[in-house]
Amino acid sequence: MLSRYNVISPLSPFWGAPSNPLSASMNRLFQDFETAFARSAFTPPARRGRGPRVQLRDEGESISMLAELPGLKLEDVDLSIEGTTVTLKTTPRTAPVPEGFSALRRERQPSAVEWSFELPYAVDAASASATLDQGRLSVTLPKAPEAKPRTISVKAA
Amino acid sequence: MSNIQNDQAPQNGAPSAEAAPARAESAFWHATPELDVYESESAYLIHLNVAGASTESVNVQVIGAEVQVRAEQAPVAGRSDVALALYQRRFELPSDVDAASASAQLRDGVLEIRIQKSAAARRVRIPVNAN
Repeated sequence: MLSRYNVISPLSPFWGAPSNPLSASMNRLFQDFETAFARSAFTPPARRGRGPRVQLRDEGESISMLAELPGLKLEDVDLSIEGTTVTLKTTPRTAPVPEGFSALRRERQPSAVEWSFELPYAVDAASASATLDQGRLSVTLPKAPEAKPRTISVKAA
Repeated sequence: MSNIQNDQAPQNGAPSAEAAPARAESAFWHATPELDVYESESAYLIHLNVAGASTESVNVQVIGAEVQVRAEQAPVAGRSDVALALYQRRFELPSDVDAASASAQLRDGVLEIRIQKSAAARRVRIPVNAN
């Protein structure tokens, strides 16, 4: 049993049926994944489209979200929920050239991110939690009571 | 602690500095991290975006002027099947470096590598004396 719940990640074809219409809206992220796969370690990465790499998963009782924000600090990240829309905004933090050094190559140009996603269920925004660890933002969005899965007991006739 | 290897100073005592990977390489998706390279008269400073990388998994190798970096994303507690990235990048610096001087630090998902230039590659200022 690989996938107990709906996978709402752009990577869903790898784990479950790619039937989720949400995956279409995240096609761009999926293409990003494929090109990253094909790239050789020698060539510089193609400039990614705007927006961080994000994974969303339905964990049953909650929705988990993982976003990659290297080099950002807590104060640079603004995460909000309005209705069923999650919005992630970041303040671009352009790293200054270290003193005494001159730049030879700069690929890590941060752009201001404003990424939003329409969740398929209502979430309990008040009890949502998020942590930022080594540039990886991990968010847990508990589902609203009405959106939580229910077990239906089956009785013998 | 970051694991820095170089071809000039063989590991003393340790059987292998490269820890056996806990997951097969095929379990990761391969990512090429973006990087910044800075130069001073005596050193290079490199910053790589490796969000979520675990410190133990970082492996930096210096061979001549070439630097090879490998890092794995740490698993996320309580989430068994998130897609984890394997960061790999190989790049050439403009001049030879003193591999033994390399040091690396991981901060906020950014890996910082400092390497001194080799003595021959350093720029030397020649003072001009007025008569």
